[in-house]
Amino acid sequence: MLLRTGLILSLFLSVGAAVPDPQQILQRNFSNWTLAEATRILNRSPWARKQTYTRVVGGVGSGIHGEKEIFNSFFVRLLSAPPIRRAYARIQQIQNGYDEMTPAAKSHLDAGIAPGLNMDVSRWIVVTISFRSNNPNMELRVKRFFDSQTLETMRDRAYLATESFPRVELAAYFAPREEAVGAKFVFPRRIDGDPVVSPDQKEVNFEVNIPSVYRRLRVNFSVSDMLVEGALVL
Amino acid sequence: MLVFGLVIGLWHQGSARAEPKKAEAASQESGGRSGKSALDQIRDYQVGLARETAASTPAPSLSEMINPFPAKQAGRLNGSVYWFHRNDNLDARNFFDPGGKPLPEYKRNEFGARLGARVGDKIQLFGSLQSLRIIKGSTLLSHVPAPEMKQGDFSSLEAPIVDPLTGEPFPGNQIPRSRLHPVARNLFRVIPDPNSPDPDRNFVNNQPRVTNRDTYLFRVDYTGDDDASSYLQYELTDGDGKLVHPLPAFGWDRTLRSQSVSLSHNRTLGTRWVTEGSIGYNRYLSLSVSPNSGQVGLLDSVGISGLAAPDALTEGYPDFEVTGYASFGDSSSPYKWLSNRYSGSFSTTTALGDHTLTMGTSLTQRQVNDTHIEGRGRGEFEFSGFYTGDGFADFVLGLPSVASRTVGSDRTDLRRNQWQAYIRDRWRLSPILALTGGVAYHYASPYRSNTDTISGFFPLLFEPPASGRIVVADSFEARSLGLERAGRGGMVFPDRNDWAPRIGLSYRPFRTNRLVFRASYSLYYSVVGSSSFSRYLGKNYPFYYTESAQSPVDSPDLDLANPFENVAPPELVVRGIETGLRTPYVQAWTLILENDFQEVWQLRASYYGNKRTGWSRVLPGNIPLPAPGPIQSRRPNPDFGRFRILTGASSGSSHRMILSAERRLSDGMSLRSAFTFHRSLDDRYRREPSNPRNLKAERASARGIPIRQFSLNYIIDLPPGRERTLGAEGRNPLLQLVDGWRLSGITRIQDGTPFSVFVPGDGNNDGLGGDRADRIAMTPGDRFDSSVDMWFPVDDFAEPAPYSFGNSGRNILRRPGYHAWDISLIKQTRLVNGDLVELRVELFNAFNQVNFRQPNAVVGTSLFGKIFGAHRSREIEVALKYSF
Repeated sequence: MLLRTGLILSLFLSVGAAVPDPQQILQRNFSNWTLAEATRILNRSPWARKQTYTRVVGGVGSGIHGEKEIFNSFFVRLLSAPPIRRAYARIQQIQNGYDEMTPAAKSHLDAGIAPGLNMDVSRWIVVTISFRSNNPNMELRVKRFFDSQTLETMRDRAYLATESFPRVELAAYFAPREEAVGAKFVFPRRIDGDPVVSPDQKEVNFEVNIPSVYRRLRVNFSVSDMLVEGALVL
Repeated sequence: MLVFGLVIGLWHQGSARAEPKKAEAASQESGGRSGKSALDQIRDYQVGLARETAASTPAPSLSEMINPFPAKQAGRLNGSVYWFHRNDNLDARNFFDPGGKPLPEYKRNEFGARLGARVGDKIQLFGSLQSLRIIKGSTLLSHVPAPEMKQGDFSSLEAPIVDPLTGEPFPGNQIPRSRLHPVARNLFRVIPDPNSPDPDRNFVNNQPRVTNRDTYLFRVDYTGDDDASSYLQYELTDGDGKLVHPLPAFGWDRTLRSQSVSLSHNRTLGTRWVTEGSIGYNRYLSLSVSPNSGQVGLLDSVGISGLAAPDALTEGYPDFEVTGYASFGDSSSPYKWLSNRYSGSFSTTTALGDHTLTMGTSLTQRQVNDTHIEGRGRGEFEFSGFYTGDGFADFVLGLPSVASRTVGSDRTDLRRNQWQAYIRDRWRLSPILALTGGVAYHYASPYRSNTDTISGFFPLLFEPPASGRIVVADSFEARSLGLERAGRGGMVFPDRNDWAPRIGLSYRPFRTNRLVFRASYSLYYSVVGSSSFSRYLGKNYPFYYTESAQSPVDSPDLDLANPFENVAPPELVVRGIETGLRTPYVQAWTLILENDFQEVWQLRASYYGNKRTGWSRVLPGNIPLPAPGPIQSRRPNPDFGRFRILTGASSGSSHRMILSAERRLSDGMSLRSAFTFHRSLDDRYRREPSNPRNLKAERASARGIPIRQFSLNYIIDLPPGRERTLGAEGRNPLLQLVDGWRLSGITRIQDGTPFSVFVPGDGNNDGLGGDRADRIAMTPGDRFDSSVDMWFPVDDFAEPAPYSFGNSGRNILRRPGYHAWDISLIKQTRLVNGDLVELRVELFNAFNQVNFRQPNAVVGTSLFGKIFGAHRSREIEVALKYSF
């Protein structure tokens, strides 16, 4: 009886969590992606990393404004990678009821989405960071930090590292305009003519020092995982 | 709000710059497609979720789907309402709670709400209310005299009660009723009869302790188009409560009110400068009075001459300390602390090539106003049992060994200005090596009084010379002694030499960012706080002083009815702060090696060392050598009583090795664990040194520091093994039931902290308590089984020979260790509209581990080595939260 109940529950849970692998998702036109598939690309794919630091508030009582398990989540994405922008585009489509639109309306929406989808990143690797916390003070502190930085002050705090280039300097920094995308860190794709990232490398590291949370945020992207049909998608 | 808006508006008006950092970024990109440079396209990239609150939006909202999060917190309007409840009906029995009786009452309700809202794209509002209501029945154990002892019948005691008039025991240990002292008779009414069969812990006070507190917080954040942001925050805390004394006739009624407001502004200047300015104000009031306060004539009714309550607020009972029995009295009433703090700060950060430079300054003024912290104006009396062999028998006969009283007002009004300036540089020496360095200058003026009621003794030495005298601040005599350097109303010279350097490095040896080595050295200052100054500055003759009279160990000279008239002259206690007091400082150094692996794990080995120099401690002065006979005449300066001198002579060191592992939240599980090995030495005795002429003997393990400590902090989403985010369960009822569970907890296991073994009273007759016992044997740990009735081998200790110091060191024993698992089980259920209901059950000390408190450490009494208390047993809290 117990075994049968466990099997049924496992089945339910596995059905609830069934989302195809990112490589499978990418084989289809992004306009056919489900919302779950789009968010999978944005959060659990070779181009996206989510780092959640936790803390349990001890003792009797309500903790921080009623929160006793504190979650500080950083969402780090390679915006320059087309899969990420396609996922965002698909979410825009879903948001606007694209699947039920007339062909004319679809064309109009496609035109609106196209600049972001096709933005020119031929010379840049773009990393984005957004942040969420259930500690209101922490969220405001991190927001103030990202809002108040400039390219020059962020240059000392953020960098890319690869096997060829232990420290790739930041080329541009853009404070967050909306929470969903977050702050944008722009790095060159080539330095002195050499590619910063090449398919034969193992990983790309991104690091940013965020003093508001007294943390160095370190993220590693596997290069081999970012190969799609043998080509590096970054 | 109007002022806030005006300030922000004026600041923004001065800004002529539009988007410099964007302009610079764009300038690096030459050309592009469709009229926009590539960097402009990147800058302008948006998903545009402006319609996320539309009616057609599925639950959860799109922004929650894009950035999935384990807690509910998103949207333009979000908030929560919560209630946390604890109740004694859910608690396990404390080890010392008497069996067969209901547990002490405990009702704890904490409820509140928070609300966050975004107004347009620029303004964010946040407000919260948090209320706390506690009724907590105590289990305060004490030893009170048997009822017949109040009639003079001490026949229940085995030890003979000696008649101090004859030196012979009272027949049958019966003190004649005619010898009962009238003051003692007046006080019997506040000493309860035993209510517990335990011969040692024969009285239990279960009176409830009450706490009521409300905290309101409001904050508004503003983000402008010109890379500027500001916030204004106001917080108010209002509270009252009642603390319980071991004896029901006493206690404390408390009131608390705290307010703070702060305004901060950030802005970017050009591409290289980030600036921040802030101003703040804080006001704090704490008032605590006895429940006997306000009963006009109460002190007079006790019958001790030479004591007076100047007003109704200070009415109450004197304090009585009776060796071997519960102390009683209205100590520390009234206590009033009122302080203001005004502060302002400015900082700027700029980037210059490989250097990032940060500079800043801050200014703070602190005020202590109309503060009263003594509450000892009604007199204090000690009964050590020197004269009859029992402390309570001494009390019944009205024979105190020490009597003291304060004269004058203990009102304190103090001022201090503090400022600091600093500069720090972070220098990227190479792609894998960065250095940091900086220096700060701190200045904190010593607290000064603004009421012209300051005086002190000069020269303030351990052995004050006969030529020494009381000098009033700002007087001609004070100026002639060079005290004008201390400033008006001051008695301590400013320390203007507080420079604080720091240096550090960060090194990535393998060119990846997984393994990092960091090292640092810094020096920082920790100023002596207002409570020390208010306790030791401005409480001297002729404005306020303590007179104390002490009876020799072998001859009762004091009578409780007239304790201050039988000794002439009264001993004049002097308190002061050494004029050359320097700001205490700490040199700290760290070595850290941390390594990330498997994406979610981080291992870290770290060492933290520090050396503390010039830390304050109170040195007793004018202390005679141990000897028989009256103390006063043997003092180095017999014209004065005991000195209490705040000095900066203490030092210490600490070495901590920490091995820790952290797993960031992944697949629904996170944990942080750490093992700490800690050695810390210092010479900060708690109240008084055993031998003030041999302070080196006080150097020992620091109080409150366990040698080994393990901690574990974890969150596990259930069912385990997969990442759960809100909304992922959909609307399937079965999944709603099975999913959404969470387990979290904190585990702490640590060694016991050290303590010392003392003798009762002033065994060596040098006028100081704090005398340590002799250690006469060293029973090996494996030959002794600790129990609650004998935690350590009590036979290893004995009272020292008369008029000598004990040979045992400070903090040589360790109290029982601590071991507790606090576990929470949480169920979250998402409603159809996307709102969230959370139910949680929290178990503190879930496995009901008995964690004993420190055993009695006063040798020579029947209580020696026995444990009288335990930390909390298992307690359960339930909570309900609704988030939207």
